[in-house]
Amino acid sequence: MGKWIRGLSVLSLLLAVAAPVQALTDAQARHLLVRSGFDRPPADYQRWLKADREEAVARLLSDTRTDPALAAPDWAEAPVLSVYNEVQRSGEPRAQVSKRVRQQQSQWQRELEEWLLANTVLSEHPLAERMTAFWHNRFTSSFTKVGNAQLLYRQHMFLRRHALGNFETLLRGIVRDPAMLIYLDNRQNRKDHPNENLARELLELFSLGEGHYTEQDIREAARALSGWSLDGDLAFQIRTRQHDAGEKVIFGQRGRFDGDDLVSLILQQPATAEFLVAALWREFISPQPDPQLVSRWAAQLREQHYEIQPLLETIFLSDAFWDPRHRGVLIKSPLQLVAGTLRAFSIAPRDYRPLVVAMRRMGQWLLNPPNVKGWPGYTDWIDASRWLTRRSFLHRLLSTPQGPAQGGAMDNPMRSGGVLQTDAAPPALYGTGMARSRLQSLLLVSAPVQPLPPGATREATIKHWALDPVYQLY
Amino acid sequence: MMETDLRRRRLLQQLLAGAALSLPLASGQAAPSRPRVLVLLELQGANDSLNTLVPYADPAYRRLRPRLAIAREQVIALDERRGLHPALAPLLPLWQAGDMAFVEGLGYASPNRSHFRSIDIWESASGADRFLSGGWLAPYLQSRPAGKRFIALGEDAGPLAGSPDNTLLINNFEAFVNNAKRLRRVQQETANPALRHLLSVQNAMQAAALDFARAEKPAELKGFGKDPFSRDMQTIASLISSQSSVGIYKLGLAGFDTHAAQLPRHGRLLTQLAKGLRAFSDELKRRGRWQDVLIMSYSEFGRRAAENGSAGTDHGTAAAHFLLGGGVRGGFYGESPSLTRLSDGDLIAGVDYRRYYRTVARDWLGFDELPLLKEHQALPGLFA
Repeated sequence: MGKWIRGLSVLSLLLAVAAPVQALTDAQARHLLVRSGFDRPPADYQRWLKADREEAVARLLSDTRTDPALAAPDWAEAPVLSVYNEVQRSGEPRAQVSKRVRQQQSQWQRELEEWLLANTVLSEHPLAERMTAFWHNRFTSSFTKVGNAQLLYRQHMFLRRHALGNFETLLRGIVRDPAMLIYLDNRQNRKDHPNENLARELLELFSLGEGHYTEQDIREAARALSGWSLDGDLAFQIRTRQHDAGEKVIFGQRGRFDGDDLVSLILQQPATAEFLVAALWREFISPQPDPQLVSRWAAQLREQHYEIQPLLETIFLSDAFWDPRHRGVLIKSPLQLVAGTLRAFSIAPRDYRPLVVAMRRMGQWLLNPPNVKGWPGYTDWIDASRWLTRRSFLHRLLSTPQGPAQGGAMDNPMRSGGVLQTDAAPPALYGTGMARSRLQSLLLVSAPVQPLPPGATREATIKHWALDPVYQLY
Repeated sequence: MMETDLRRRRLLQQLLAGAALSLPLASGQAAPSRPRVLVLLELQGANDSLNTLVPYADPAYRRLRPRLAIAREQVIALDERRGLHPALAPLLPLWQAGDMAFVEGLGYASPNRSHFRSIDIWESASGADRFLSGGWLAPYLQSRPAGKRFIALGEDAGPLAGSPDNTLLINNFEAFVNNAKRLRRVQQETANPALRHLLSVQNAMQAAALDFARAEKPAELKGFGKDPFSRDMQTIASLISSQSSVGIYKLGLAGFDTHAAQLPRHGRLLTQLAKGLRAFSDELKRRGRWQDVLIMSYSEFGRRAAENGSAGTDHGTAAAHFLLGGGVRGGFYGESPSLTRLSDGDLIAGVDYRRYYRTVARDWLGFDELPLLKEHQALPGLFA
């Protein structure tokens, strides 16, 4: 027995020396690319198969561009439309202006939702899209509360720009972000009337996590953030008269702290890095972070001054990431399901509205998380209603022929060559020329659980796989 | 003249009540003990309880609400202090039969006035400073034997969230039955918890759909209106009547966020509410199931004591809620909030809402193991 094992390891050593053996298998390439991004068309995997882990991860991380695939909507960069400004400008009664502004913002909100989804579908940088979505679900804000699509667009661009950047930059920016200051009521946080909402969520959800601060820390943190507010144009402004410049004690340290000092104090706490690493573990490895690795990687993150990219490299190169027991143990978010399916089957929709609505019924209303904690994800994504919505979305999408793509803002010129222009339903053209067994391992993370009807055509087989519960896993 | 009007109305109402009361005698009396059913009714947007259960005799009520107060002669008096909004007339027979209770002054400390946050608090039974994810009934649902089911009709499971193996969130009942009965039952052991979750949801859906498909079609039940609330009540009535295995239902009626021009809108909502509830109770009495059913209302908060500048009411704090059912001991419970002693213009909640929950959990469901409710005392005497 022992001899046999030894023999085997010598053999694998020999094979390892002959480089191609370490090259990724279909299943490994799929794991890396879907875990760090979205599903892909079968042909896309080809160029990853010659690489080994190190090469593949290096290639994945070499492209750190985060710019959106689509140009900004024309209203996005325009001066911020607010009730206050409009009343000043037009002199109309407030009630009238307020209604008009609300309607305009709701219209923009819908455009922004479509723009966000379209960008995810069309992006050439899937990891950047996943990380942007990750930050949105940490630093949550919701349109229902903020009511301003322009501010949410700016927050999105901020998170996108730093998606693979530096956590300190993100944390410093988010406590000055206008949408966030509105969302967490910090405009009402004044010297003599503190509002603790931002302070509490900053510690509990954005950085340290529960159990690593006291109620006293929250009260003092709120004082440090008092007066961090907005001006009439809804731009960040420190209102010095509303700021409590007195001495505070936070995490046992004493000083005349302001919001910037508060962020520095937070970044000195070991819990901050651990909380972030654990969240990234749940995003990319499994639902149960390994406490030892989390604390080791957290220490590394602090040594590397909160740079995100080296941390991602550590994660993607770790044995935990590649452990077959961690394969397929996560459940795709509606964003991953919808964007991933469109990408895998090379479908470029002309109208994103129905997809946004479907995602909302699957429980993910873009820019409107259920509460400040964001979407809990994992098994929460699947209940009776959501599972039926997912199935009917897949069924309809994969049964409908995709007519010739028409030129339009949403059609990505870079991908137009790959867009299906056919009267056939998408599965008919999925991986043409490839063996069924190979396609199964590129579409599904493990064997389907629902038996194929006997004599199923190739097209019916592929659709059947997409409707299998296993297709929801990644 | 007003007096005669009122008397005429009362007489009419008593006649109606008599008609309703005579029904259960025909079929319901000898009903054997059957599993109890709970119906959770969310008044979405925050119902104005001061204009639902009206403190009509309190001069402060009219002072606070010069435009919104319900005229004294329109209020359906329940006692010398309180009365129903006239749109709730269909419920008067239930009150008179002792099947309706109000619990007044419900709320929690440091109230949050955001719809989203406050409904999360109410539905998870947390306090203002804690974020909890599951619904308050989740531990109960999780402890039920296999084969028991729970249904939320609408967009969210609310108090029933957090027990996906036996709880179904159903948006459109007929579509659910049609689609879910076609799902395949997958019996497969797997070490992957994510896959196990998916399969258990799918299997639960398929089994439920087969169960529901055997039930009487909701549309065959008479007496219900066509509005979404009445249709939901109709669906629930048909499932209860067909002895389905569902133990708790959740449904909602939306639109109570009456910041402006409240009177007509609130009146329409209460009319819908009362008609739907009345059709439901009539049907269940006919089927001999009214004794087994309890309806409890809840909402994210009450509205402010005073009206605002647009003849509406803004987000407030304490509220009264009602319980309806054959097993209820009718009357008033809790504490009527004072209209003169306000906190920042808001009614002061005298009763933590979790006491209301614990009463229902312990005395109706017979389950007193909800950790979040442990420190809140049940209200005595609510059930016969």
